[in-house]
Amino acid sequence: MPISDLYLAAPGNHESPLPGWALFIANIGVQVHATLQASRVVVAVALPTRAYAAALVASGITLTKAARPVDAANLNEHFLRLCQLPLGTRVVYLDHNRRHKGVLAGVVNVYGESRVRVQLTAGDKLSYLVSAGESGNIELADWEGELPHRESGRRIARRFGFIDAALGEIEPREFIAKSRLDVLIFGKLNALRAEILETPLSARLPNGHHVPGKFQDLIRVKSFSPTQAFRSEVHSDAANVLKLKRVDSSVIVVFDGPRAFLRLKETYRSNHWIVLLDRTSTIFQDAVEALNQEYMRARRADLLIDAPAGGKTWGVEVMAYQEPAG
Amino acid sequence: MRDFTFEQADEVYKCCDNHTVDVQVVNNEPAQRFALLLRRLERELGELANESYWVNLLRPFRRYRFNIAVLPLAFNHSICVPINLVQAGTEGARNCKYIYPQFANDVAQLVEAGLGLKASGDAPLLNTVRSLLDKQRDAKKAILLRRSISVAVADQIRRFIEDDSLEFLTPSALLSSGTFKQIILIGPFSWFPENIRSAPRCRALVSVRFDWLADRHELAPSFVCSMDSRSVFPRPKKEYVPQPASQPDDFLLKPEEVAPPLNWSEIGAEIIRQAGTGDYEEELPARLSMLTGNMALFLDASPGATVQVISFTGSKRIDRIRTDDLEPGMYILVRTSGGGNLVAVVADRILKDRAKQARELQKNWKMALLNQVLDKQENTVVRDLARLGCKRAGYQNLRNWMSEKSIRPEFDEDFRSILILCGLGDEEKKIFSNANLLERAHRRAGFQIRQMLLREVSKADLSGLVRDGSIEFELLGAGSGSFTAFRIEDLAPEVKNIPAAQIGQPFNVELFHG
Repeated sequence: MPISDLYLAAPGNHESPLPGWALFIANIGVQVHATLQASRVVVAVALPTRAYAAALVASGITLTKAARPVDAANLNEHFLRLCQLPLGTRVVYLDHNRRHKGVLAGVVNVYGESRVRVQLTAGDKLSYLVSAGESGNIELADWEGELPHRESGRRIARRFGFIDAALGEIEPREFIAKSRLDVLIFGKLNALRAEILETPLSARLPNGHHVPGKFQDLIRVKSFSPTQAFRSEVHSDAANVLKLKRVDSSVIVVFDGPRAFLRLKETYRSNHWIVLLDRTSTIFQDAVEALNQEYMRARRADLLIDAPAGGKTWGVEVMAYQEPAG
Repeated sequence: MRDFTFEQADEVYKCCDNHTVDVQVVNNEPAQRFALLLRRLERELGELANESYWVNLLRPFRRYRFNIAVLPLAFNHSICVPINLVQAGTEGARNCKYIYPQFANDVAQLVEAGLGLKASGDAPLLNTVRSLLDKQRDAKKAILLRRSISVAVADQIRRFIEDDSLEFLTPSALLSSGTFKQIILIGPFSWFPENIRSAPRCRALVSVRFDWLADRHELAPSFVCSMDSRSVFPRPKKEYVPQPASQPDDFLLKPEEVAPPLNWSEIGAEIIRQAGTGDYEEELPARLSMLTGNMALFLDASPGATVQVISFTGSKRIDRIRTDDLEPGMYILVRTSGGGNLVAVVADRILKDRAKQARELQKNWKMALLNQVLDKQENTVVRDLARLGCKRAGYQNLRNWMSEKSIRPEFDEDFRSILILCGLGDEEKKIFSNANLLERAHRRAGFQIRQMLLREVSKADLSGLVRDGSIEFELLGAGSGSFTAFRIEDLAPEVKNIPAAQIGQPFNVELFHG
């Protein structure tokens, strides 16, 4: 879906399209993903304020990457998470285009392979032994009410929601159910949490109606909704470097602010970078100088980030280049 | 406080896209003559200007030149005129004839020009501001100043301009004040952070400065290879008023000549010198911060050190953040009255009758340890302690254990070694239990203070904090203990070791500023 189909939901059910600057920033995420090849991509953006830039750029990345299926390695992480959840955790099991309510009923070993047991709560109350490779069919769910009786799985006839509308042509099931780390954001946790969880957005359905949502529905930050499948993670820019885990080099690291970049650039040197620099920060110039040195040291080719119509804002400055993968 | 709603962020971007930049150069003959005479004397003196005679003579005149250039006030306004201007001028002119006769004429001219200006009620910057100010009553307008002014002076200016809604801001305050229709900054752009222009928070930005002050020119792209960098900068939609072509290049004073950048090392050294230090005082890494109202404060910059700040967003009114994460524009909570350690004061109230005896017992072993150090020197005491089983004997720990801020060493074996060394081994049990009692009381006191502070902060009108840059919270009744929230105006780039007692104590830096 083009990010331009997202709206800002103002009080009183009044929806307004995202302004040009927001589309431009989100589009950086879209274009960086489109550019990813063997070489590293570095995009540095100087902004008049850091507000919402990380949420927008991450939305652009996750929505664009949503079309790519989750590979087995990512499913393993989802599977391990399922294994660690307590017995009785409510889930939805997807089987042949039907959704069944169920609960987790432990981990069993079948011919040397671990499988999660899902006990359906309706119909014949079948148990499914689900392998890591099939674990994408298990969604963690917050379904309410008594465990139903004598009811077989429901055919998937989803009520169109924000994610469906936001993803457009892309099948949302995998996006909702399967975890994969696409984006890693470093910045001020309080500000990011408020922006990602509280900003009211909406997406337009084909019938013209709007459905409400939040950035979190698109970015799916792991630590903000621990029971959902995730697509990104947010860490404080003050995080202890020694405790941070390395991530796959395909993950795009977003540094939200000069401090995040200056502290953590060495830790994620083999990842793609999007560096968002607030011009009002006291260490803005330090980060700019560090980036300029990076550019002169390692640039292989400049990249052009297209601006959508009306998106070019005065004072927003972009430097984008490719360098050989580290 | 610097967090925006989406609508506020949108307004910032609209300001970027639609703002205009204008410069209004103000001509005032007497002020120009004074500024240029002072500059001529400084140049003629060269290195000689650093001698104490000239420093004492020139400082009030430099200060006066700085004040009339940064404040939109009348030349004779008490805020502009340094207290010692007249005395320094008259004495300087009289003595110069005998000490430095070759400069006597220059000094006489300078003093005459300076004191003549001081007698004048002209306010050319203020008049210009009044003529430029947007006439729309409900338009959000502000005057941006290099230094903060008192509420009373701000009110005077508002009355003169006849606009009650006019706000007065420093660059750090601007970051937490949203966006404006018009901002008039007093002085050249060079006196302000570059983001005033590169990330404008207004639709119309006007610089008002005297014609004897130069300014830098256009903004340059930040990155070595910005996309379409030529279209990024410069902006101004209105043309700059050209400098008078007939003036020679050196007619203009460089902005840093009039308002030199803060010399952090000098300020820090002076504060430490004024406070004085003991021989064996503990030292800690600290970062100097400039606060609103010409105050300065050393902040503990030890790894992991935190400070309390007022939070305008989120659920917590008082937040504790790492010193490293502080930025100009944040509001820091500082203990400002009551003397001594407030935690100790409240802890004594908790201990009631036991307080006096507990403090005396505590003081006894600390004094005994200090006497050991005075008698034998630190290195001997450290060696002796190690010999007695103290595993963490070191210079820094020793100073920490002697200081009033620490109740007791963390580990019993270290504490035991100290008591044995001081000849107090027989009283170990009593001293240990006393220290534990004090520790518990201090913990409860810390909790109570936080609760009191939270109550006061939640009751307070924080719009006053944003407007004035500081607000005081009285905790235990008049004079017993209070905290003040100050806006951070600037932070020193470097960390340096200073005596621990200086940390967290606000200082007035009026004397060293500018």
